[in-house]
This record gives sequence, structure tokens and C-alpha cells, in this order.
Amino acid sequence: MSLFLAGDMVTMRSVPRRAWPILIVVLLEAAACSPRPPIPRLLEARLKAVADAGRPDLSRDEVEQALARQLRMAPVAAEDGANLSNTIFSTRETLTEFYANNGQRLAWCDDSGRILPPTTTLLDARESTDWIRKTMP
Amino acid sequence: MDPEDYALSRLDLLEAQIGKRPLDDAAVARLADFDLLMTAAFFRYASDLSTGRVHPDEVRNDWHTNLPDLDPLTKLDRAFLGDNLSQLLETLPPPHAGYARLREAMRGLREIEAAGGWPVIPAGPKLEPGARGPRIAILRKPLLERAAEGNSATGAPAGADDRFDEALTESVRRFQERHGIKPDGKLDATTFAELNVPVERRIRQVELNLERLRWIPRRLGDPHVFVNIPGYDFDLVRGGVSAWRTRIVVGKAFTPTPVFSDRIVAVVVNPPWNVPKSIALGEFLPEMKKDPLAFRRRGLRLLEGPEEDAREVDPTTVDWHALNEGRFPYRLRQDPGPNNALGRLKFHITNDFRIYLHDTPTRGLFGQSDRDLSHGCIRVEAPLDLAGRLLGESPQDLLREALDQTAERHLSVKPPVPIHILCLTAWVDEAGVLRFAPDVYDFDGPQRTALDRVATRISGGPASGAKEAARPPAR
Repeated sequence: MSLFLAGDMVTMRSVPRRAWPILIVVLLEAAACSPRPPIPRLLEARLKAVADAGRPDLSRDEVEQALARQLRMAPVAAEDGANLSNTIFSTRETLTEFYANNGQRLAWCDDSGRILPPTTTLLDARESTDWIRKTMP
Repeated sequence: MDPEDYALSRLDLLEAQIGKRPLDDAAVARLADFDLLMTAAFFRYASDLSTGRVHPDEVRNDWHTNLPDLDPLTKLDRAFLGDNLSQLLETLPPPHAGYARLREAMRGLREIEAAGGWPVIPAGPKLEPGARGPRIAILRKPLLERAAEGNSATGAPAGADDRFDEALTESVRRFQERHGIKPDGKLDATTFAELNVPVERRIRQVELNLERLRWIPRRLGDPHVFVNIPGYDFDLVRGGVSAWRTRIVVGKAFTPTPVFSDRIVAVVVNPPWNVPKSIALGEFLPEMKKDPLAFRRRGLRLLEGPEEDAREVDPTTVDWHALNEGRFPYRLRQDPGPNNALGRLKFHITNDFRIYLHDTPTRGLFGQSDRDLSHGCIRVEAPLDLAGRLLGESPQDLLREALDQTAERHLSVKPPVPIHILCLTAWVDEAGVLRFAPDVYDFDGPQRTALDRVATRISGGPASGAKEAARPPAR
């Protein structure tokens, strides 16, 4: 049996008996702290939930709703019903495609939860938009 | 645009939570949520800022536009690869100077709002220069200040506080001119109504017009023409600045001039007027039923048969009472001449709506302040000057020669000049003055409704602007 730790191969025989508990703790922590497997799964699950956001039996999860709000809904007919809005892009599909293109990896923070610079850039820019409704009577 | 449309508070909350340890399943789920929400917020923000929150088709079907082509997915991928999201964000809003100016004006209005808005002028009878009284004392200072905005001279001129003096008269004129009212310097009901429009409603109006500027093409061409329907204004722009302007007459609300972008491709000298069937039936047929000879007085000819083989018909031989919308086998044509409805010059625009620019024999209309009077085509006050500017130097002799004759003649505009026909009820001119115009085609209301529909879709409840939308227009 062999284990890979930090790129070096470690054989069971080469580990002193006293070090076993430490090694087990390290391995368990490494497994717990390695978010790679769950993140793609969670991203996909969330995307699916968003795709189903139109269903009335959905849970009222706040983030799901917030996500769903971000998405362009079905285009609305003009007053006379003559023309339908052509959606420039469909966010739902774009969102799915974006993560598929990126191997279901996080884009705005790293796997340890550290915020990446583009996040600050976008949040700052968004705060300076031509906002209006916030203080409307 | 409202930051809450982009889930600001939820993102802030998640951002605060995701840094916490340990990184258990719940924390990992929050990471995924945060990331998805950020990506969705970006796509929505990019779309809203680049092409507007609603498509013009959601508002009315006579705003024709090809929205800028946005490829947010590729752009975001590239931005991450090149670590240049800031640059990408800078490219999102419309690049036009008019957009930046209007956005700046929005900031100014918000400052006025934060300071408590404009004072309300009590209702009362019309006030004219020379008058005196407490209402003048209320309106004098704010009106002088509002009229001084955008002028190099700052501050309000001195004068008696309750007197309608020359300084106040001039300020009233300036205010009227900036609000699309006949600038007579008198404080009548219309002017009072405009003065008493609350700043919150002006902010909303500016927001609507910022949205409209997101619908226009990114590349306008150089030179290009801007026609603003509510401003009754034609502006030839060269090198990004106004090179020449003229007053125009636009379509009535019942026969509106459509909003579109296309190209001016030719100047037609001595154009005949082929009367559109809608006008022939709606306006001339009732007249002909009463008096067939009115036809000749108007210089109209009645034609029957295909264009190349048309036969002229004597109007006195026609049973006008037997004709109607379903049975009208004729075409009406007005030959070139002094009474021709198109005047001496017509400017051909490539478009699907049969809209063109033209001269007119009824010159008096340009003196009116409300000039939504045509059947949809645009009448130009200074067509000869416009022809000269569009044709350039070399064809000037051809133009003069053609004008000396009576025959129809086509002169190509090379290269064609892009024209953008818009419907803006709020804009900022090059001097930095914020201007408003009457909503001649009732575009503001339906657009507010469409935006509120979007807000309802986002928030799940009526938008705060819904109340605003329900209010009747000021005029």
C-alpha cells in the first residue's frame, strides 16, 4: 500500500508506529479540507435547482431565490402582444455553460474560500451604478 | 439601476460568511452559492448596462433597434484569463458622450433630492412680468438658480424678492426653453406644472432615458445625424460634436415617427409626392366626395394602373361616393412645384417604414413650440443647408443646377450618412444643460410599466416605482 503526500510516495513500513495517529489525523483533515469533489457536485446541484426555479413546489431557500432573480425570465409581450422581446442571452444557459467551460470550478473565490480580486472589482463597480429605487418613496 | 437587482446584500452576507472556518459541508455550499450568485450578478449587470433592463419591444412596437451584440460568456472567460475585469466593466455602458452627460445629471438630481428637492409653488393665477407678490417670493430664488444651471454665470442676479423683474423673466424663459415650453417668460399653468414636477419624478425620467440610450447602436458613425422626436431637433454630429442643427416637424401621436437607425443615401431635388394610400383615403377622399375639383387646386393627379403604364384619370368622371377603403383603384400624385407637400427637397433614408426627411411649403409650422404635426415623415426647416452639408463640396454645382430646373433629380450622398431617430424626453446638451421634453408619444408610461414588471419579477412584489407610474403625466 502506498500513499501520496505532498508529492512524495510514503510506504507504510517507513512510517514509525508513533507517527500513525498523526498521519491518520493529517489524512482525515486533508480529506475534509479538500473541497474539490463537493464543489462541482454542489455547483451542479445549485444550477439544477435554479433551472427548476419556476416550479411552485420548490423550497423557499433564500439563495436559490436570489439566484433565480438574477436570471432573465420569459420575455414579456409588448402592450399589443405583437412582438416578443428577444433575449440577448439566456442567463440560465450562460451560467451553466460558464461553469461547464471552467470544469465546474469556482471563479470568484478559491477552494479554500479566499476571495479573488475580480470579486472586489465587480462588487465595487456594482455599487457605483446608476441606482435609483433604493431611496424612492 | 438598483444594486439590489444584483443581490448586493445577499452577496455581502455570503462574502462575510465564506471566510469562516472550518470549511465543512455547509461552508462549501456557501462557496458554491456565492460563486454562482456572483456569476449570475455579473451576467445580469453586463446585460442591463449594455443593452438595458428591458427590450424596447416590451415597451412599444415602434421602437426598432438591433441591440448591441453582447457575448458576456466569452468576455468573462477572457477577463478571468487576462485578469482584466475592470477593463471589461468599462466597456459595458454605452460609449456615447450623451449617456455619460445624462448619468452625470442623474448624480446632480440625486443631490437635489438629498437636499430636500425643489420647493412647491402654490397654485394660483398666471403671473406675468411686472407682477409682485408672495408666490414670486417663493419661486424667485429656486427658479433663478435652476435657470442658472449650466451657465457660465453663477449665482442668482440681485433684485427685489417679490417682484417679477427682467432677471426673473429671463430665467422663466430659459426654464421654459429647457422644458419644451413656448419661451414667453410668463408663469402660466403649464410652466407651473413643470416647475412643480418633483425631483423624484425627474430622476425616474432620467433613468428611463438612460435605459433608451442603452438601446441605440454602439457605433453611430462619423458624421451621423441624431433626430430627437420630443425635442423636435435635428443634429448633424461630426467628430463627436454638434456641427449643425435645425428645427423639425415630426409625426403626430396618431401617426408617430418610428424610432430606428439607418442611413441617408440620397437628396432628391424637385420630388413628386406619391400620396400614401392611408392619407389618400383618410384625408383626400372625404374632400373629393364634397368637391372633386379640389383635386386640381391641390395640384394632385389621379392615376390608375401600374407605375410604368399609369393612366391619368379625370377626377370629375369618378364616382367618389362609390370609393372606400376596400375599393380604391387609384394612386394620387402631386408633381414637383411650389405647393408640393415635400417642398423642393427630399432626403431618402433606407428603411422599412417609408420614412424620409423633406422640405415643406408650410414654413410657419417651425415657429410653433409643439411640432408633432406630420404623418410620420420628418420636415426639415433648413433643407437647402442640410443638402449642402450632406452632399459635400463637389456636388454643389449639381445641386444648384437641379434646383434651377423643375425636373426630379436624385443626387447620391456619398458615403451615406447614418441617422439615428430617437425618442428622448430627457437629455443633456453639449453645454451641460439638462433638458426635458413632453412625452409626445406616451413612451415614458409604458416603459415605466415594463421596468416595474422586471422589478416585480426580481423582487416578487410591486416595485417602488409602480406608484410613480400610476401618476398622471405632468402635461
